[in-house]
Amino acid sequence: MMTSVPIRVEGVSKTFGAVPALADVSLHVGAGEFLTLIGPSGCGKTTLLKTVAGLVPVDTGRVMVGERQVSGPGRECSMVFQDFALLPWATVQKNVEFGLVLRGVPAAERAATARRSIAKVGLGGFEEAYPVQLSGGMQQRVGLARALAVNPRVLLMDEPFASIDEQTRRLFQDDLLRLWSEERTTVVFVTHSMEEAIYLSDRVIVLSPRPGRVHQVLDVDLARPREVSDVRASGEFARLVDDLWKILRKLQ
Amino acid sequence: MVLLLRLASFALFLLVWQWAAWKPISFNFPSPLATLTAFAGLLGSGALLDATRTSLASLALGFGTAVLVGVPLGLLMGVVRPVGRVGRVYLDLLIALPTAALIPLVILSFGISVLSSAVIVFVFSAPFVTMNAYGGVRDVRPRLVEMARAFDGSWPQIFARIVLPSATPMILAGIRYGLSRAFVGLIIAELLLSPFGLGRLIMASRSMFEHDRMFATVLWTLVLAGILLAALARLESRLLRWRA
Repeated sequence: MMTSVPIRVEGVSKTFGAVPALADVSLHVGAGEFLTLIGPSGCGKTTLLKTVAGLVPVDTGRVMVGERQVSGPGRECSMVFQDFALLPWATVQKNVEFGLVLRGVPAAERAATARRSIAKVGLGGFEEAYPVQLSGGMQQRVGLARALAVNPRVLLMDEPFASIDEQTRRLFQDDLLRLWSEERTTVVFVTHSMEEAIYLSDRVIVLSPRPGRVHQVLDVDLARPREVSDVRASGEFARLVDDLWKILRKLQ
Repeated sequence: MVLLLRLASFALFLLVWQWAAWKPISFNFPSPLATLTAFAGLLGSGALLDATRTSLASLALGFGTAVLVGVPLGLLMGVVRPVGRVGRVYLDLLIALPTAALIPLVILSFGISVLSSAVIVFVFSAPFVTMNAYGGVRDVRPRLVEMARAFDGSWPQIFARIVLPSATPMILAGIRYGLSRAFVGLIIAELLLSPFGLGRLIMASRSMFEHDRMFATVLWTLVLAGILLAALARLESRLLRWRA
């Protein structure tokens, strides 16, 4: 169990060459909150996520993760990528150990930590498999196990389920919610899927495109734990998805 | 199945050869049997092993240096972009150049010695080894670098744990291709300039009209190259098991 930290984005702007990506974006993510960023292509949601990760420096404004002002990658955050970003030459075990290796964790300790993390995401028994031998869903489980292995305060997820088939995705979403309720990390999640945004999140932030701005914030007050009840079948769920669609449609 | 095909193709090759010798396409074209006898004779007299030792020394010196210089240079060119942009012009030139034309220059500079054969082996193989290492670095998936950066990895860590393993398949392919080029360079060098090694044995047999001996030496060179290349290919597939 770890303590999660809040994130503050304060007046952040970012331009790539002549292309404005983010314009005066401010938002707050509570400690332990599950927040989703959604919006049309070009709304800068991935860029925003990467400013929090410290991978993209901001032009103006600032990003605070807990007490730290972000000026580069830090140790509070872990990232999960749409294309998994696994090392093809390394086994599942070695992939999950990767973050721990970079942080200089001793071999025995990191092997044990990685094994626990692999078990958490339901991949026990696949430690010696190579990524190429796994399905997309399983590869992303490796990506998640790698992210969790370093015991992050903040989990940054960039369209993690976008290239996974629907059935696998639903199972994975439930597992993610279960893990999140156990680990209590702060999660910032980027997606294109309205259902996914509503199903997972405490709040959904809709960004408008070119340049990205905060357009609207949607509170999702569906009861938790959602993974055990049939939330998707409820009228409340349908209404929230519909609200989100009405907001997004006007932005197209 | 593959083994059977290999054996069959080899038998076919021997048959065609025997037929060509018996036809004959040229009066001094040796039969497989004559070649084998000559091979035994060369082996018995020690001439073949001496020549092989000399040739392999040039090869090891020239090709070893090509790998030791080429791989780090290619990596440097890939990591430091300006070096790469300047360096690749020279590499392109070296690769396009008919390298045999350099031989008189090499003789002038290094004299007629094992060293000059080694220099020519180096010139033949190093550009390919370098070019592949360079290409390997340029093919690194930027997403993997980003992932390592997100974990707060330092640049030396990213080089050792992302760039180097990513580039390894291309580096190994470059080394293997470089080795076959090194053999070409070695034999050209020994045919054209140095009075020793397998090339000299080929030239000497030819000038004495001992074509069976010449054939035996040429085939021995092929076998030697084949063995070394196969050994490298095995090493490669062991190191790259994850691709299976």
